[in-house]
Amino acid sequence: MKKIILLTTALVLMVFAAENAAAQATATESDVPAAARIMTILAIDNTTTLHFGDIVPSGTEGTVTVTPAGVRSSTGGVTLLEQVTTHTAAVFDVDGEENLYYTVSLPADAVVSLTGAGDPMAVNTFTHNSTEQLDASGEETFNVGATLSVGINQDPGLYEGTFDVTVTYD
Amino acid sequence: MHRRTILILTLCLFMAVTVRGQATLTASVYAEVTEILTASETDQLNFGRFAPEDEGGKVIITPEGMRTAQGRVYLAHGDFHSPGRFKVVGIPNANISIELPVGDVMLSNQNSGQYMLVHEWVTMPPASENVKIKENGSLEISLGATLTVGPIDKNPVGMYAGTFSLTFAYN
Repeated sequence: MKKIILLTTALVLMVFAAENAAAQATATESDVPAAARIMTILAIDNTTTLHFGDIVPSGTEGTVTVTPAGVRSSTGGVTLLEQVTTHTAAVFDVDGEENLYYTVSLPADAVVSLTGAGDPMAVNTFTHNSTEQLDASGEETFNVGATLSVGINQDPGLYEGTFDVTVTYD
Repeated sequence: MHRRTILILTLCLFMAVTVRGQATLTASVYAEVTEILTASETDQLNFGRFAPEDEGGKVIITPEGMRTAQGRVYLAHGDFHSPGRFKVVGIPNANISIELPVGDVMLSNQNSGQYMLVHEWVTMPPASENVKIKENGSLEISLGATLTVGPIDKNPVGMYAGTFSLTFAYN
């Protein structure tokens, strides 16, 4: 019984809608206000590269972590140096619509690895320090850090790779 | 009724633009794996031959290899004495530290069981200064020290030997 009532209601609404459409076809009103706002395209720029710095391997595997704040630490058989290169967290500038919220997407684990003289080294646990809201000028700068896995007696040399960062308006 | 229709269209426009409000950037990431620091001894520290008299004294070898005696010690000429020499291999231009033996190191004679003490360790370049591996990735380090020799009854004729540790590390 309930089902029948609902069906009837729907039919009535459809009839109303049809009448409204008919009314619009014959009525005229000038100077109707209309507005559209094209939002600033969201843009991102990488101003500083993520660099894990100088790493001395050993017979024990280990990890090197650079935090978004740029603090470096290690675990396992890895010794940290600052002789050839300087470690840095990645820095990104985002430009878009003022005060809008957005989301930062970083690579999942087991996606990024660095290649060089020896075996590839995995980069996992990407983190950022973004507030995920553009300021009153439509800008925000945020940093990205991650954790690098270093193998046993990892061959010396420069290792490099890439990772994707995506920003999206909420 | 017209205004409501326009409002709905405007909202739709907003939504369409918002969906495209996304940007993706591919960023680079680097790591520099450096060489492990290694050290090898190319020449043993050797105080050479000498003869203590009744009061003993000291035998000093500088990192440059110059040997002198203090007190009642007679140095035998024409024999081989040598500072310790070490080769350190690592990152070109890297700063390293040299950790010298702390306190006395004992040289003992296997036959008599007597001993002499080595102390006042000195290196070239000096361990107290900023030591840097050369552009070619290696560095020669020389080591001198002072040997205190007892009188002949305490240090009878014979060969005295011992070991010590030097530690090199990246700064």
